[in-house]
Amino acid sequence: MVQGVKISLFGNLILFLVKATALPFVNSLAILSDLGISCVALAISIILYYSIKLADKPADPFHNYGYSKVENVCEAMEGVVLIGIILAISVQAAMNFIHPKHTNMPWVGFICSIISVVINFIGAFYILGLAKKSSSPAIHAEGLHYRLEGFISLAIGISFIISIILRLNGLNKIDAFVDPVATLLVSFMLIFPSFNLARSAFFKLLDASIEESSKMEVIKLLGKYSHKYCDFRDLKSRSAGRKKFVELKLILPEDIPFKEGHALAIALEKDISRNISESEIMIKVEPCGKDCHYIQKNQRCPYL
Amino acid sequence: MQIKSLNDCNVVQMEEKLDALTSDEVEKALMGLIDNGAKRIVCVFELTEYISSAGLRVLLVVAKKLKKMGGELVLCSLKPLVYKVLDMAGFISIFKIFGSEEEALKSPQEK
Repeated sequence: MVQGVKISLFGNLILFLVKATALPFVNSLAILSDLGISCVALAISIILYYSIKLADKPADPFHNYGYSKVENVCEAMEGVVLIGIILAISVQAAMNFIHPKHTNMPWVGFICSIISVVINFIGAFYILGLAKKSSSPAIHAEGLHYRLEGFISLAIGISFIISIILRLNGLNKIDAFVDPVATLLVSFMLIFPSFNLARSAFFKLLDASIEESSKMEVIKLLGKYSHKYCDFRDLKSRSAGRKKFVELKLILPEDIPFKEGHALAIALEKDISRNISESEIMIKVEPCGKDCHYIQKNQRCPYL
Repeated sequence: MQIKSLNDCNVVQMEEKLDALTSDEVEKALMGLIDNGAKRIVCVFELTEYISSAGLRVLLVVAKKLKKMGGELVLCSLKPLVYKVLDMAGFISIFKIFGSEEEALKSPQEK
């Protein structure tokens, strides 16, 4: 996973340098906004590098549940900063509509965009693959960001092609508006993913329950073991970074030997944690109240 | 949610979606029936298009409570997608499932 972050960091550094080099030649707002996004991405990659190391630290007396929530903090920061950039570049693009200006050397802008597209899509493919293996939400957010940047650079590249075509056809007046249109398109492409990223991260920071597929695994196993316990209660779950926490109360017959009851709880815990990666399961055992119809009718308890 | 009593059975027409948003209400209604002495509940899934883990949890909890009181929970009229979800969760072997409400009402109660 640290390897993935290093690749991401290196990729973001290259992208930053390519766009920063092209900007003085091209004088494009679209390239400037893309550079802003790369700045954020680079900063987040650096923070993510240290966050992943922190998230891997074991629990200690100060953080009894570990440090894995730091990945959700990274996710949230990325979302919020991206929203800030969207607002800033949208305002600038609106001003450029009022005072339109031409970009210089659109073919340099086009080459810069194509290099960015290649790096972004290859990076996204690799990072998303790593995220799937590691179940890391922060690495997954990085992968999505890379892919999104790829589409943004593609849109900017297309706008430079349009600019070149318009200039070749002598339509210079229209050409002045291509750059702010491309910038607004970039904002539009970023707005929903950024809000979703920030929203998802904040929900997780507020201890939202684990995703549906993991909850389904827990229910499946409770169904599988249903002939061994009287009832279950207070099923809860939450996530912190990559880690998932599940807890529940298992109601067992009052007369079950302690060892047997404990062994059942451990077996269920192990089964659940085997099916949900990076999980910590806590099952508390409680005695039944001997208030079922088996006891009332002097019948044998089916769970003993 | 429609509830009716027929031949010592409580027949409950389930909602279109049985998920985290509706499961609480469904659980309350079914538990209320059990607290009022219901021994056999037939859940009709004719209108149900979607069931999530929350819905499955409700079915399991209600089945457990009914069994504790000497009763049983029976499911019927499952749409293919809902049946598939129950099958994937391994619930087909836990619950009695019938093709229609009529069949479910005719079947004898397990003692």
